[in-house]
Amino acid sequence: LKKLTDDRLVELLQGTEQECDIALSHIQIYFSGLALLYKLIVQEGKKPIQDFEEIASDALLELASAVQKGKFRFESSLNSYFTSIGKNIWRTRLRRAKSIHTQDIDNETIRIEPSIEKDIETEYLREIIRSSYAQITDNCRQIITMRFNKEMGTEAIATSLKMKTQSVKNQLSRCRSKLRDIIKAYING
Amino acid sequence: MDNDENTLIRYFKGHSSELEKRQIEERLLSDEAFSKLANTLKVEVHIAEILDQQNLANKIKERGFNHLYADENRPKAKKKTLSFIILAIILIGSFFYFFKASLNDQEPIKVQEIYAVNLSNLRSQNGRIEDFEDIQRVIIDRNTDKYASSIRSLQSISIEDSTFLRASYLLGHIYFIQEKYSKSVTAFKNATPKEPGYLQDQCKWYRILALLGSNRNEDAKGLLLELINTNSSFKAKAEVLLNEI
Repeated sequence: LKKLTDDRLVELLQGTEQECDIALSHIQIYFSGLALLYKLIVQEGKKPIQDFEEIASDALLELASAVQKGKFRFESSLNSYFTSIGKNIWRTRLRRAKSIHTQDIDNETIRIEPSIEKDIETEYLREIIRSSYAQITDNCRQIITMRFNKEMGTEAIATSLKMKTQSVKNQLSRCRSKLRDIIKAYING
Repeated sequence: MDNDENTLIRYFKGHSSELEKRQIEERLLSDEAFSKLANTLKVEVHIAEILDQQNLANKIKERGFNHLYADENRPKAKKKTLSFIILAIILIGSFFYFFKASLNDQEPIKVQEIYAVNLSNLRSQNGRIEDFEDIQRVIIDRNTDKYASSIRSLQSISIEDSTFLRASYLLGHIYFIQEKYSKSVTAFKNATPKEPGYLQDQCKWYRILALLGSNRNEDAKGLLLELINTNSSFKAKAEVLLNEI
C-alpha cells in the first residue's frame, strides 16, 4: 500500500462503498492517531483491548461519515481530525460510565436526557442490525444503501446494476419488508 | 409516490432547501398519508445508514488492529518465536564473528550481537516502547511474506512525506538485520532528524553499528566522538565501543 494524501483519502471516503473501504483500510494501517488512542486507552487507561477496538472502529466510522457529510474542511490533517474524534468518543464513554456509576451508588432515579434518548434509539437499532446482519443479503444491502444513502431513484439503481426498473422496485420492496420483519421479530423477542 | 419518497429521503438526510423543508413540514401536518410515509421512511433512512456503517464496521473488525499491539498482548507462541529469532540473530552474529575472525587477524566488532543486546535493553527499559514495537514488527514481518512488500512500501515513501523519517528508520533496521550494512547506513542517515535529541542520537548509534558492519571504522569513530562530546544518552555505550575499536 502506497501512502495516500489527505485529498485522495477524502475523495475515496466520499466515493463508492469499495473506495470508502480502501480508504478506511489505509487509515487503519497508516494513521498514527490509532497508536496514540491505543496508548491512551490500553496502556495508560489500563482498559482491555476490546474497549480500544470498539472506540477505534466507532472513530473510523465517524470519520467516514463526517467526511461524507462535508464536515471535514482541511483545517487540520485527517490524522489529527481522526485523533480528536477518537479522543472525544473515549471521553464521552468515560463520562457516561462515571455518571452511571454515581447513579448506582446514590440509588437515584435515572433521568434520561433527550440527546441520550436519541443515542439509545440509534444504539438499539444498531444492535438489531448487528445481530440480524447475516439475514440481510448483500444484494438487499446494496439496493437499500443506493436508495436511502446515495439517494438514487429506482431507475438510476437499475442502470447502475444493469437490471430492469421493475425488478429493482420489486426487490427494493421485498428488502424493505424483510427489514421490517427483522425489526418486528427482534422487538417481539 | 416515488417523488414523495425522494423528497422525504432528501429531507431526512438534511439535503432539502429551506423552502422545501417548510413545505414538507406544512404537508406533514395536513396530509395523513404523507405523514405515514414519512414515519416509515424516517426509520428506513436511519436503518440504511446503520446498515452501511455495520458493513464497514465488519470489514474494520476483520482487518483488526493487531499491528498496534505490544508483545505482552500477543499470543505466547509469538513471544517464543520472537525470542527464537533474537537468539538466532545472536547465533548467526556469533558465527560470522568467529568465521571472520579466523580469516582476519584484527578482531571485528560484533555488531549484530551489540544490536541484539540493544533490542533487549530497549525492551527492559520499557521507556521507548514504540521503538521496540516497530523493530519487533520488522523482525516478525521478516518471517512472513509481508516482509518484501513492507520493504517496498517503505521505499516508496517520498522525502516530502511526513513519515519519511520513520520509514527510513525502519528500513535502516531491516537492512541491518539483513546485514546490508551500506544500505542500512544510508537509511539511518536519511532517518536522522535535524533537531538534536534522543531520536537523532538513536539514528546515529545504529548508523555507527552499520558503519562498523561495513568495516568503515574511521567513519564510525567520528560519529562515536560526536555522541560522546554531545553528552547524549548513548555516551556510556559509545565510550565502551570506542575503546573496543
